[in-house]
Amino acid sequence: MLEFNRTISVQQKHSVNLRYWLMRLFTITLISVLLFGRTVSAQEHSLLIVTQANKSFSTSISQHLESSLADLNISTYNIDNRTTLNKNLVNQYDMIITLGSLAAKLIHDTDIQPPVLNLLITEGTLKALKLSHNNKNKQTALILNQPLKRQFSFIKHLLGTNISIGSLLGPYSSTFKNEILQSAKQSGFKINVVTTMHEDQLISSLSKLIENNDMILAIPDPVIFNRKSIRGILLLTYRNNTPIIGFSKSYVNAGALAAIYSEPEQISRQASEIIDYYFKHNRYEKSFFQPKYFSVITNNKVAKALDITLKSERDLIEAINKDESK
Amino acid sequence: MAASDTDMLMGAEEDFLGEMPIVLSATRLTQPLNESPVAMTVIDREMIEASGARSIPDLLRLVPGFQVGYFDGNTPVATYHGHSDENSKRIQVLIDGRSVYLPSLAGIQWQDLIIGIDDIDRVEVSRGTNASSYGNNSFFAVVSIFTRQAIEDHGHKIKAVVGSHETKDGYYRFGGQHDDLDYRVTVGTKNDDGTDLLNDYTEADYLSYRLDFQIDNNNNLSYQGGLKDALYGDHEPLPDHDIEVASAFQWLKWERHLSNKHSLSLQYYYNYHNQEEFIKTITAPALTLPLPIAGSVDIDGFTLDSTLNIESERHDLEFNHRYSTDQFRLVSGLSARLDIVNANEVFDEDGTQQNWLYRAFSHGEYRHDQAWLFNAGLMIENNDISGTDLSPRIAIIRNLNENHTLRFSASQATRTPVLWEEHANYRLSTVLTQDGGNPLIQEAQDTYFGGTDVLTNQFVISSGDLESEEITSLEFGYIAQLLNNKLLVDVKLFKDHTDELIRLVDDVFAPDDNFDTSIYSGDPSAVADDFQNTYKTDLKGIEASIDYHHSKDLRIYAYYAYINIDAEAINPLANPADERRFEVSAPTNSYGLMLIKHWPEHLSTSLNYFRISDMDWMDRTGSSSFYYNDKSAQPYSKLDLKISKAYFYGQKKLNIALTLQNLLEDFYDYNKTRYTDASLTTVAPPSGISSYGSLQDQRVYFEASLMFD
Repeated sequence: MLEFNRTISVQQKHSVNLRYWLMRLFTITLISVLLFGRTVSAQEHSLLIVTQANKSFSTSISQHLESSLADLNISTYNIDNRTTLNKNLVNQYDMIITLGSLAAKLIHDTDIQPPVLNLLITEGTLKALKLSHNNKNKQTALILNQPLKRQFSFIKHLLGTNISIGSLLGPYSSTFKNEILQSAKQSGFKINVVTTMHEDQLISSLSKLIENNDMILAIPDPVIFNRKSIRGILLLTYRNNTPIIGFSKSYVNAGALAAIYSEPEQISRQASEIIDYYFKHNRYEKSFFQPKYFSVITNNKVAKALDITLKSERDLIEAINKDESK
Repeated sequence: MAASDTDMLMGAEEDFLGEMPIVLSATRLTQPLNESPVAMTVIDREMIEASGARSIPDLLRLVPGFQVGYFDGNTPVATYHGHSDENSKRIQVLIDGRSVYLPSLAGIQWQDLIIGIDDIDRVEVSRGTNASSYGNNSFFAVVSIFTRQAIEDHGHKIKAVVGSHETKDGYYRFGGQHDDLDYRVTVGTKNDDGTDLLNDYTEADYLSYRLDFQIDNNNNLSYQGGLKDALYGDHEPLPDHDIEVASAFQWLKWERHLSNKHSLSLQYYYNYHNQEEFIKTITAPALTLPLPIAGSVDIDGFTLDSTLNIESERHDLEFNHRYSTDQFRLVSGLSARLDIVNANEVFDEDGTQQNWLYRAFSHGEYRHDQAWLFNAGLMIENNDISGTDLSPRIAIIRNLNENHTLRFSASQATRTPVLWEEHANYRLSTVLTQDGGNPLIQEAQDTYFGGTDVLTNQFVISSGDLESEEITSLEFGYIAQLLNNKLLVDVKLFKDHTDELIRLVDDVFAPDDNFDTSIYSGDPSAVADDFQNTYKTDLKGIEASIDYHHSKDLRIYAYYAYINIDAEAINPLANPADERRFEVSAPTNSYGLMLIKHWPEHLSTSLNYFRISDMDWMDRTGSSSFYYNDKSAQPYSKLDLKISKAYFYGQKKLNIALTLQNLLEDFYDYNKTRYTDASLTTVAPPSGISSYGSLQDQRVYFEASLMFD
C-alpha cells in the first residue's frame, strides 16, 4: 500500500506519531482535492517524481528540481521493491521523472501516457532496459556516465598524455570497449584494456594491468567497481604506486586519485533544461543525454603519497571546458 | 540482455552515488619522504623481492647507517649507528603498529618475529629519533613493518626454498573473502643447519592469520594473531644444548572515520615469548677441606645446571585520534602497557617482575604555505622503573621549489631500562652436603661459606634505580626529486648526543656470593656484574642515498654512510673497555648498491653489493682487562645475485628463482672468533669450550612458488 500526497515525500519508516501526522496530511490533501479539484492550469505543468525512498542523492535531486522548476507543480511518489504502480494516478501528470534504476524500470514496465525523463541511471542500465530505443517524443534519460572524451581530457590535464592507461572492463562495461579504445586513441593516449568476466579474477587481472601501465581508469561496471571490491582495488593500485581515476566523489574520498562527476544541482540544472525543451517543443531533444555540467575532485593526500603534483580543481575544470569548446 | 543482467544493473547507480568505505585513510598513506620530520628509507615490495633476503635484518642492509650481522647462524642482529650487542635494544621495531621489543632481555629477537617475508608489504625505516610518533624506545631508529591487508592476498601461494646449509623453507598462504570480511592464513617453516663452525641450526614453524572486517563505510576492524615454535642450536659446540622458543601474539585494531578530517583508532595487542636456554654447567667433585676443630670435612660433589627459562608478556592498549586537513595534521593518543617477565634464577622472590608504562603523545604538522612546513611532537611517558620522561621533537621543512627540500629537526628521546637491567638477580645456588647427604656442619659453613650451607655463585645483580638512556638528536636533511621524479636523492647530516647509556659493570659487591674459585673450579663467574648508567657518546656523520627509477624495468638504488662515535665514561665504575667498544660499534664507512632489471618474458635479475669497513659489536666475549683492537667484523664485501622468472598459466603464476650470496669472499659480520688473548690478537678458542664465529660463506638458494586462485 502506498501513501501519497502532493507536497511531501513519505518516508518508509513511520513512528506512530509520524503516521498520525501523515494521516492528517493525507486527509487534508484529500479534502483539498475534493473541494478545489486539480488546480493545475494549462500553462502550469504537473510533474511526478518517482523515486526510491531513503536515498539521499535522490532527495537532493528532488529538492533542486523543485527549486529550479518552481513554476511547475511537482509531486513525489516514493516506491520500493514491492510497489505496483497506480496507472491512473500517474497518467494525470504531464511528465514523469524517475530517479534511479528501480523507478526507471517500474515506469518502463508500466504502460503509461505521460512522457518520461529518467535520471540517475547508468549507461549500462539505460542499455539493459532498452530505454534509449524508445520514442524520444515520450522517453529520454540523462545518464550518470561522463563522456569518454571528457574523461580523457581530464586525464590529460591531470597527468599528461605521455602515459599508458590501463582499464579493467567487466561483463557490462565490455560492450563499450571499442568506444573506449577509439576515444583514447583520438585523445592521444596509449591504452590497454583487459576484460574480466568474474569478480574472482579481478585482483589478478588488475595486477597485470598495473604492471604494464602508469594509471588505471575505472569504467563503471557493477561486477568490477562496487562497494565490496573497492578495498582491494584501491589498495592494490596504491601499493603499486599507480594512480586510479574513479567516477564518483566517494571513490575519491575512499582513496582514488581523482574523479570527474556531476553534482546533484548540476544534474538538476540539465534536467530542468531538458524539461523546458520538452514543454516548448512537445518532444525531447535526444533519446538520451550525457552530463553537460560536471565537477572534478582530487585527493591531495593520495597525490602526495604517490608523489604526484596536481593542478587545482578549478584549473582542471577550466582546461576541460576549453578542450570541449574547441 | 538476460533478466539476471537487468537485475545486476538494478541499483548500478549506487556505485556512482553511494558512499564507499574509506580505504586509503591517513594511517594507510605513506608520508612523502620530503615531508617526514626525520630521514626515512622505504624498502618496498620490489626491493624485498630483489634482495633475496630470508630474514628481515638482511633487508636492513639496504638502509644507510644500519649494521647487520649474524651473532650466529640463527641470531641475526641489526642496529642503527652501532651501540648494539646481540640484542638490538636501541632501535624500535613495529609490525603493523605492534612493538615487538622484548621486555625481558631488551631488544629485538629478529629470529622470533612471527612473520613471513612474503606477507610484508613494505618496511619503513625512520632513521632518527622519533618517540613522539612511534613511542618509547624509538631511540636511534624505528623499523616499521607493514604486512599486506588480507584483501591483497586472495587465493593460494605455495613456496619452497632449498639451498646451502641444509636450507629447507616452506610457506603456504591462502586468503579469501566472505561478504565484508577478508582473511588470510599463513603457515611457514624455516630450517637450516646454521653456519659451518657453530652449533647454530634453526628449526622453526609458524602460523599467522589476519582478518579485516569492514563493519560499515566508516568502521573497520582488523584482527591478527600468530604463533611460532622454534628450536635453535645454542651456539656452543656442545651436544644436546638447544634453545627452545615459543612465541605468540594477538592484535586487534578498530578504526573509525568520523569525517574527512577526524578519525579514531583503538588498538590492543598481546605478545608472548618464552625462551628456555641452557647456559652452563658447574661440576664440582667431592673434596676434603681442613677444619681447625673438626679436623676436616668431606663435602659431597655436585653438578649445577643453569637453564634459563624466561617468559615475557606484554599487554598494550592505545587510543589514537587523527585530525587532518590540507594545512594541519595532528595525531594524539594515550596508551597503557604492562610488561610481565617471569624468569627463575633471574629475579628475586617468585621470579616475576612487572612494569607499567603510560604514555600520552601528540604530534602535528602545520603547512604555512608551499614553502614552509612545521612539525612538532611531544611524548610524556611514565613507567615504574625510571619515572617520567619527556620526548619532544621539532622539525622545519623548507621546500625551495617542487624539486628541492631542506629539513632541520631536533629531537630528544629515551630508552626505558628493561626489567632485566633494573631487577636482575641472576645466580646459581645449591645446598652443600657432607658425607653422602648429611647437612654441612656449622664450622665448615663458617670457615668457608660465610655461615651458610647454601653455595651461591652470583652472575648478575642489579643495584637498580637506573635512569632512562637519553638521546638528543640534531639532523639536517636535503631531498631532491629530479628527472621528473624518477630520481630521489636523500642526504642526512646528523649530530647526536647520548647519555646515561646502560652497561654491565664488574666487581660489584654481591652479598650472597660465597663461591670461592680457589675451592671450586668449573666455569663460575668470579665477580658479579651490575647494570649501571655508565657512558655518554657523541655521534656525527652523513648518510646519502639515491633511488633512480630509470623505467619500470630498471631501478638503481645506492647509499653511502659515514659515522664517527666518541664515548666517555660518566660513572667511576664504568668498564674502561666499553669506551672503545662504543667507538668502534659502527663501521666508519659503509655503502651499498642494488640494481634491479626486469627483462621481457617476465625475467628479472637483481644485484646487491655491500661494502662495510671494520667494526666491532659490543658483546665480544673475554675478560674486561684488555681492549679489543682487532675488530671482529673485519672489513667485508658482500655480493648477491638473484635471477627469477615467472610463468603464467591462465590465472596460475609459477615463479622460480636462484639466489647466489657472498660471491666475492667469505667473511664474518659479527664475530670472527669469540676469543682474544692479552696481546690483543685473535686466537683460536680453547678446544671444547667455545668455537669460531659465524662464517658467512658462499650460498646458493633455489626457490619455487606457485600462486593460484
